[in-house]
Amino acid sequence: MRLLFSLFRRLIFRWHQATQQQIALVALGMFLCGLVLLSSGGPTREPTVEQHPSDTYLSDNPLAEIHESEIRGVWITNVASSVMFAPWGIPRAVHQLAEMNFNTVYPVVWNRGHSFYHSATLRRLTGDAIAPIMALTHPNEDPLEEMARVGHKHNLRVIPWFEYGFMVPLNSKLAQQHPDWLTCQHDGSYELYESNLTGNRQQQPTVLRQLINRMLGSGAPKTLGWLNPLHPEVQSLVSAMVNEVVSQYDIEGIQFDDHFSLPAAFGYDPFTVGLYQAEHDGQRPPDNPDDADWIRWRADKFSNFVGNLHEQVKVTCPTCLFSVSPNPAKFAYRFHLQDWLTWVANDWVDELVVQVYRDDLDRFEGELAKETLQATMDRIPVSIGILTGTWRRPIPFDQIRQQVISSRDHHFSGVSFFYWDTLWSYFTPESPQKRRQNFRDLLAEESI
Amino acid sequence: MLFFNLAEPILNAVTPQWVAFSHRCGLKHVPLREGATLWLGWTGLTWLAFVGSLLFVEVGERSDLSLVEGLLGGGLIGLVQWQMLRFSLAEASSFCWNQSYRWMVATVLGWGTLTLFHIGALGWMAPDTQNLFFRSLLGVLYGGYVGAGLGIAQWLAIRQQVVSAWRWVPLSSGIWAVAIAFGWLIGGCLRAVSHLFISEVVGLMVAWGVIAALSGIGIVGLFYQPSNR
Repeated sequence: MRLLFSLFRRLIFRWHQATQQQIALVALGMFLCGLVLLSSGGPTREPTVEQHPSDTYLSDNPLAEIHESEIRGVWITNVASSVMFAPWGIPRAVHQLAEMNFNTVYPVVWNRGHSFYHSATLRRLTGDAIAPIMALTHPNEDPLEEMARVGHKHNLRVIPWFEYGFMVPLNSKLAQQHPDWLTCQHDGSYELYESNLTGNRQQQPTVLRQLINRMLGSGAPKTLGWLNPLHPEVQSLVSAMVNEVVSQYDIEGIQFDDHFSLPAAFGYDPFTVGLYQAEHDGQRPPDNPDDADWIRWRADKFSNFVGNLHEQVKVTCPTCLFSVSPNPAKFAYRFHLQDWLTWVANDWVDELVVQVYRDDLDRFEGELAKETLQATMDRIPVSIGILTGTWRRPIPFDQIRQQVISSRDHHFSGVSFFYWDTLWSYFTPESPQKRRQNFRDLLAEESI
Repeated sequence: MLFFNLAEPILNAVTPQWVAFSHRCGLKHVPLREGATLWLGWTGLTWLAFVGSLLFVEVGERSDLSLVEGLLGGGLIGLVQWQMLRFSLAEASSFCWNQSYRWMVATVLGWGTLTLFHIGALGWMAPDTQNLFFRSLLGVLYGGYVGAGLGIAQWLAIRQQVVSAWRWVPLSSGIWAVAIAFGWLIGGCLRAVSHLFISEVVGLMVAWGVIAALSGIGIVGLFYQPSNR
C-alpha cells in the first residue's frame, strides 16, 4: 500500500514537472488512439476462421442456416465508394452490416478491367494482378481474403461479385491488347451507350450529360466496350478468373449480374458473324439486332457457356453457389440476351437475386407478382434486389421499407440492397445514424 | 505554420498604413501584424480542425452523437487553438504560453459537459426540421446556448490573465448563435435542392468558418487590449 502511495506521489510530482510539449504529445496520442478505434469499428475480437474453402458451407456452420431464414444481402462496389480503398474500409463495413442483421455480402472482384483480388490470369494478360490502387491500400492482405475472413467472423456469407461481367473500358489494357475479343454493333461501333443496356435506343447522352455523369461517376471510364461472350478466349478468361476465386478463397459462391450478358445491339464482330455464317449456310446475321431468331441464336450460344461455367464451378467447389442477379426475365432476355429462365430450368443457377429497381410501388409489386418469378421460387431461393440510391438518385428510407415489406409479403427468400454506400452515409436523404437505426429495425430478427 | 507564411508579406505591406490611420483617427494602438497573424492562424486552423474532425466524428441530427465523439471533436478544436495561442501569445500577452493549455482543457471539458447533457456537439449536428424559419430560430437558440456554455468554460481558463475576460461569454454566445443559424440555413437550403444529407455537412462547414473568423476577432480583441500588455 505504501509502495502504491509512493508511486502515485511520484506520478503526481512528475505531472507537475511535465512540460507543455509532453502534455501536447499525450493529448495528440489520445486523439490518434481514438481515431484508430473509431475508424476500425472497435478492436478485433475473434481469431481468423481457418477452413478449407469447400468446408465452409457444411451443416455445422451457421452460414448454412442462412438459406433457412431471410437472405439480407448488400452489394459492395468500388464505383462511387471508398470501402474497398480505405485500409479500414472492409472491417468497418462488415462490422456495421453484421450489427444491422445483414447476413450476405456481394463484394466486387471484377470491375473496369481490373480484379480486386490477386489474379495470376490478369497479371499474365495485362501485367496487373490487382487494381493498382488496391495494391497500395491493401499491401498486407488480399482484399477478398480480408472480406472473407472478416465476413465469416461476423457470420456473413461472402459471395464475390463479378460486377462488370463482359463490360470493359475501351482504354483498358485488356481491350487495347486484345481488340479482337471485343464485340461490336451493326455499324461497326465498339462503344457502349447506356441506351444499349436500357433498351431505349433514342436517348443518346448529351455531351453535358456525359460530363456530369463522369463528374459524379467516381472516375468512371469515358467509353465502355463489350467483350464477346461467345469468343472462346474471352470465355477462357472468365472461366480462369472464376476458377481462381472459387479455388483459392474461402467463399460461399460467386455472382454475376446483368453485365454477364450480351447487349442485343452487339454481336456483329467478325468472330460472331463467322460463327453464324458457319451454321447458316454462309448467310449473314440479320441487320436488325432485335430480330427474334437472331436474339434466340445468340442467347442459346451464351446459355451454353453458362452451363459449362456452372459445371466448372461445381467441379472445383461443389458447395459454392452459382448466383445470378439479372433484370426481370423478359427484359433480361430481350435486351441482355440472358435467358435465365432456361438457366434455372437446367439447374445451372443456385440462387437468383432479381433487380427490381422501381420507384413506383405498384410497378415494383407488379414485377414481384409475375408468374415467371413465382414459378422460379418453387425451384431455387429467389431474392429481390432493391435500389437504396445512388449519388444522383437518393432514395428515402420509406420507399426502401415499403419494398422490403412487399418482398416479404410475396414470400421471397430475402432482399439484397444496391449498394453499401447508399445504405447509410452522407449521400442519403436521411442522416447516417437514422438510416442505420431504420435498417436495424427493418432487418431485426423479430420482423422475419 | 502555413498561415503565418502566407500572411506575413501581406501584413508587412499593410501595417504602416494601418498604424498611420490609427494615429490619424485617434484609435488605441493595436499591434496589427501580430493580431492579424493570430486571427488568420486561428481562423484557418480552427476550420481545418473541424474538417479533420469529420474523419472520426459522424455528423448527425440532434441527439445522434455520443460523448466520445463530442470529446474527440471538441478536443481537436481545442488542441489547435491551444497551439495557436501558444505560438502567438508567448510574448505578446500576459497569457503566457505555459498557461495556454488551460484553453484546451476548458474547451474539451466544455464540449464533454455539453454533450453529456445532450445539449452539445452542436458543431457536428443538424436540426431535424426542414423548415428554414425554425432552423434559423433553433440555430440562434441552441447556438447561443452552446456558445455561452463554451464561453463560460473558456472564461474560467483565461479570467486571471485577461482583463475583463467575462466579455468572452456573451461574445462566444453571440458568435455561435449567428454562425449556427447561418450554417443550418445554408444546409437546409442545399438539402431541399439535393435531397442529400451531405448538404448539412456543407452547412456546418460554413458555420464553422463563421465561428472561426468571428471568434478569431474576439480573441485578438481580448488578448491584445492595451491593459493586457
